Amino acid sequence: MKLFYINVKRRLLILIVLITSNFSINAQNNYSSIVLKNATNKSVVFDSIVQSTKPIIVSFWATWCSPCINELDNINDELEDWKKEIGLQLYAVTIDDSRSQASAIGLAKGKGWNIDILFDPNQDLKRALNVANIPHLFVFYKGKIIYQHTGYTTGAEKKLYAQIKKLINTTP
Amino acid sequence: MLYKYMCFILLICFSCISNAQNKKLGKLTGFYESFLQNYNKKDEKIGFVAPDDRLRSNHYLKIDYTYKNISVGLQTEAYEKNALLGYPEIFKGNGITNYYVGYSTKKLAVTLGNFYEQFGNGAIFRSWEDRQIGINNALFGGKIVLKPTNYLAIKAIAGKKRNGFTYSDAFTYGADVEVNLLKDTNNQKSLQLGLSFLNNRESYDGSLSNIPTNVQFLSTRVNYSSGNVILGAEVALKTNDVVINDLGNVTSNTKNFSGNLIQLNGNFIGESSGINMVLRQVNNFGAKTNRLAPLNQLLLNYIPALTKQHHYSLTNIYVYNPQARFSFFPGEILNSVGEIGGKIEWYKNFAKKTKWGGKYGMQLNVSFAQYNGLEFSTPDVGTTKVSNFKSNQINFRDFHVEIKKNWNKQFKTSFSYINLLYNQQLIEGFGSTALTANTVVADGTYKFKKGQSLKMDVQHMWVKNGKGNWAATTIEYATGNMLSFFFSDLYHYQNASGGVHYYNGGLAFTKNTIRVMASYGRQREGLICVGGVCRLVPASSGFNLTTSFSF
Repeated sequence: MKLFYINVKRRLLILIVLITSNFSINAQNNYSSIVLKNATNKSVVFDSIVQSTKPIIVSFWATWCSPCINELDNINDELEDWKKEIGLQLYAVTIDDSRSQASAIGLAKGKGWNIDILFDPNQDLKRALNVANIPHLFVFYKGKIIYQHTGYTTGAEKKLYAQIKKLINTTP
Repeated sequence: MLYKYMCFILLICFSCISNAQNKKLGKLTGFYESFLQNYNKKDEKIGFVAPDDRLRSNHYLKIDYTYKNISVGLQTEAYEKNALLGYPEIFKGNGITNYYVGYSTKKLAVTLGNFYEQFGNGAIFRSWEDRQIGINNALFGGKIVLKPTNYLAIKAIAGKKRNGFTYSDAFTYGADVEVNLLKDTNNQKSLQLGLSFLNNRESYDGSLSNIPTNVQFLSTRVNYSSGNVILGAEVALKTNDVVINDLGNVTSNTKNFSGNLIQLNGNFIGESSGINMVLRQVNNFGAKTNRLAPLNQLLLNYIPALTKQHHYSLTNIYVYNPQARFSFFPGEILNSVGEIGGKIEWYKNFAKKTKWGGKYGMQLNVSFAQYNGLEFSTPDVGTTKVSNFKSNQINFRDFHVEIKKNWNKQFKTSFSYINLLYNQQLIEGFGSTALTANTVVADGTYKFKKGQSLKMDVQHMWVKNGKGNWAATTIEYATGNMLSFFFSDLYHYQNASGGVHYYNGGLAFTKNTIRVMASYGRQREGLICVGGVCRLVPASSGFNLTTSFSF
C-alpha cells in the first residue's frame, strides 16, 4: 500500500511539472467556481459577484478577530458615502467555522452593519486567494484584483478609499 | 540549507509570476509565512529552560498555478532546526507536504492529491489546516464535486489523512448530498436537506478480538431560512468503536461503544438585533482516523466548543475544550462520556441619535453558555450505560456582557464582564472541578485626525479555586503609515512564586500583503485553542519574528 502511495506521489508531481511547463494563452482564476453561502443559506458563486463594473471590496473576517471587526465597523461608517460616490459594494467573507458561523449574522445585525455577509466555513476561498492571515482585504474591479492588503489599524480606511478611487481611474 | 532551499523556491515563484503576468500564460499565486523564535537560555521566573537548539522556526510556502479550468499546486514546509516548542514531533524536517491537480467547472470539480473538505458542519468529516495549532490533516486521494443543477450538490471523497510528513494508515471514504428544496431564487426562503456517509478503515493485526476494522458514520441535517429566522438541525451516528484510555491505549475491557451527536440551531434576526441559540449533545462522537493517534493528530471530524469565543488575553486563560470522547482518571476510572448543553447570544445595536444610542451609537452583546457532562451509570467502562439527554456535573459555564459606546468620531470604548465556571480537573486533568473566574475589561481606542490611533485595554480577573488573580494591559499605537507598536503585560500577581509578569513588546510592519512582526517577551504556559481544538504551549521567553506575504 505504501509503495502504491509513493508511486501516486511521483506521478502527481510529474503531472504538475508537465502542466506548469506547458504555459499557453488565457488566464483563469482558481477561485472562479468557488461557491459560498449567504446569510439566508443560499449558494453564491464567488465569480458572479466580482464580475462587476463597480469596485467590490471583499474583506475576510471572523467573529473572534478584533481588528477585522474594527475594520468593518469603520468601513461601515463610511460605506453609504462610498456607495453614493463610486457605487462601491462590500462583501464580508467570514471564515468562522461551524463553531461560530451562526453568531456572525447576529453580530452583523447587532452592530448595525449594512454589509453583505458570505460564509467560507472550511476556508476554500481563503485558500484559493492565498490569504495567510485575517483581516485581509481585496478590491476587485471588472473581475480583477486591483488591490489587496493584510492587517488593519484604525484610520486605514481613509487611505484605502483614496487608493480605490485612484486605481479605478487608472484601470482600463 | 533551509534558507537556500526557501530562496530557491521563491526565486522560481517570482520568475514564474513575471512570465505568467507578462505573457498571459495562466496565473501563479501563493503565500509564504514563517514563525521564528530565538529562545532565551533560561528564564527562572517562569520555570523555562531552553532546549539545545534555541533558534527554531516554522516555514510554510504555498504555490498555485491556474490555467483555464485546471489548477495545480503544492505546499512546502520546513521546521528548522526543529518546530517551535509545543508543536507535535511529527513536524520535523522539511519537504513538500501537499500537492494537487484539479479540474473545475461550474458543474464539476475533480481534485487529485491533497485537498481539504468538510461535510455539512464537519460533524462526521472535516479535513483542514490551522498552522497556529499545528493542524494539517488534508486528505491525500481524490475528490469529486458534482452540481448538476443549482439545487443539488454531491461530493465524494477517498484517501488518507496527512500526519506531519507522512500519512495515516487508515483509508477514509465517504459522500455527501445536499438538496435545496425551494427553487424560487427570488424568494428569501430556503430549505435544504443534507445526508452524509463516511467509512474509516483501519486494519488491525493484534490479538484483541473487539477491534472493528471499519467504523461508519451517518449524518442527516436540515436547514431552513425565511430571511429573519434561520433554523437548523443535525443528527449524526457512529457505529461501535473501541474506547481509548488516559494513557492512549485501548482499554483493558473489551466493550465497544457507539456514538451520537444531536444539534439544534436557531437564529432570529430583528431590525437592529440578532439572537443566536444552539443546543447540542455529544455522546462519544470524537473520532480519529487512527484509533491510537495522540493529542490533536489525525482528527476525522470537527466538534468545536459551542461557547462564546473571547478575544482578550485574560479571557483566553480558561478556555473550554469540548468533551467529545470518553475520558478517564488514572486506572481506567471513567470520568466523562460526552457533553450536553447550549449557548444563547444576543446582539443589539442602539442606533445613533436615539435615547440609548446617544449621538454616536451604542452596541450590546450578552451571551450565556453551559455544558454538562453526559450521565453514565458507573465508572467501570465494562458495565457502564450512557444516558442520552441526561446530565451530571457542570463542565463549563460562561456569562458575558459587552457594551460598546462611541463617544465621538474619534473615541470609542468597550466594557466587558465575564463570569466563568470551569471544571479544570476535567478539561486540563488537574485542579478544581469548580474553578470560578470573574473578569472585567475596559478598552478604548482614540483615532487621531492624521490617521494615527492609540488603543489600550486594562483587564482584571479574580480566580477562586485556582492559582490566583491576574491583571493585564495592552497598548497599541499605529502610526497610520504601515507601522504599529505594541506592548502587553499579563501580571499573575497571586502566583505562588510571588508574582510573574508575562510581558511582550514589539512592532509590526504592514504593506499591501507583506506583514512583518518582531517582538520580545514571555509566553505563558497554557492551551492555545482555535475552535475546539487546542495545542498546549509551554512557558517560554525570547525573541519572535513572524513574516507573511501573499502574491
